[in-house]
Amino acid sequence: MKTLRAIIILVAVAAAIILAVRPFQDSDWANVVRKESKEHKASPGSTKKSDEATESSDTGGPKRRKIPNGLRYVLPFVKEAVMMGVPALITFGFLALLRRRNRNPTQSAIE
Amino acid sequence: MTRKTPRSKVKLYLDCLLLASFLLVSAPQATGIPIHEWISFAFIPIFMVHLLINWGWIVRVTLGLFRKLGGETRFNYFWNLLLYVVMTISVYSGVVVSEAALPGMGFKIEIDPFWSTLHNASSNLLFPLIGIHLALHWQWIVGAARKHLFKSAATEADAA
Repeated sequence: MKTLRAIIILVAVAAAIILAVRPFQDSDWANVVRKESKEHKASPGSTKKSDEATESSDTGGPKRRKIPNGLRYVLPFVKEAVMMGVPALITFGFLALLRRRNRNPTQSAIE
Repeated sequence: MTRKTPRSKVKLYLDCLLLASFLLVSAPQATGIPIHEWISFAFIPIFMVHLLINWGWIVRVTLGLFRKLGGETRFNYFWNLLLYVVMTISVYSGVVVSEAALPGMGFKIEIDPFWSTLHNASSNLLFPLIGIHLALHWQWIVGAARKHLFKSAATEADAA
């Protein structure tokens, strides 16, 4: 019974969040995003694949360079490690400073 | 006589599964969109179980919000709430722009660039939010891992 009540509360909160966000799809901001997306798709050179990079060649036209397959499977996880790890390390440092300060209140007062 | 599995051990294994599934879900460039969407459907119940296992803490802190609470606990609470909001937006926007799973089940989905952009943005925001969430609970994670993972491995090695 407690678990069911918890599930109902969690779903209700999620529904409230969704109902709060949904009206934004009709906003001017949403129209700007759609317009920019349309322009980006329509512009030349925007149809390049995500695993290819374009660089200019000596003959004048763009030459496509393939990213190695192995990197394609590794780079997303590197991105995750960096985007999670850096804030986590900053938080560790901040908490360590906070705990040291709380442990030595007289010293920090003198400083 | 059966020995009951400690609650902290269940929590640890569940949290490891949650983190692993999140890391996999967040790499659609590596897994491809269809696997990304199907793993997301599996991720949602794991996330809900994580919240249910910690429901006691959520209720205690919510009820004690306007009484005397430690600064770290209060920060933790609001950070977790922010994480829940962003996760909900990420999941909902992902469902609305489904390219493989829902169309495969017969639902006709029109991809709206607004929801696609919101999905990318909320998903990217989840990384630092979860990184900080892990850092805030690091002591518990290390303690539980030492007790249930490394200690049990050492015990098995001694028995062998």
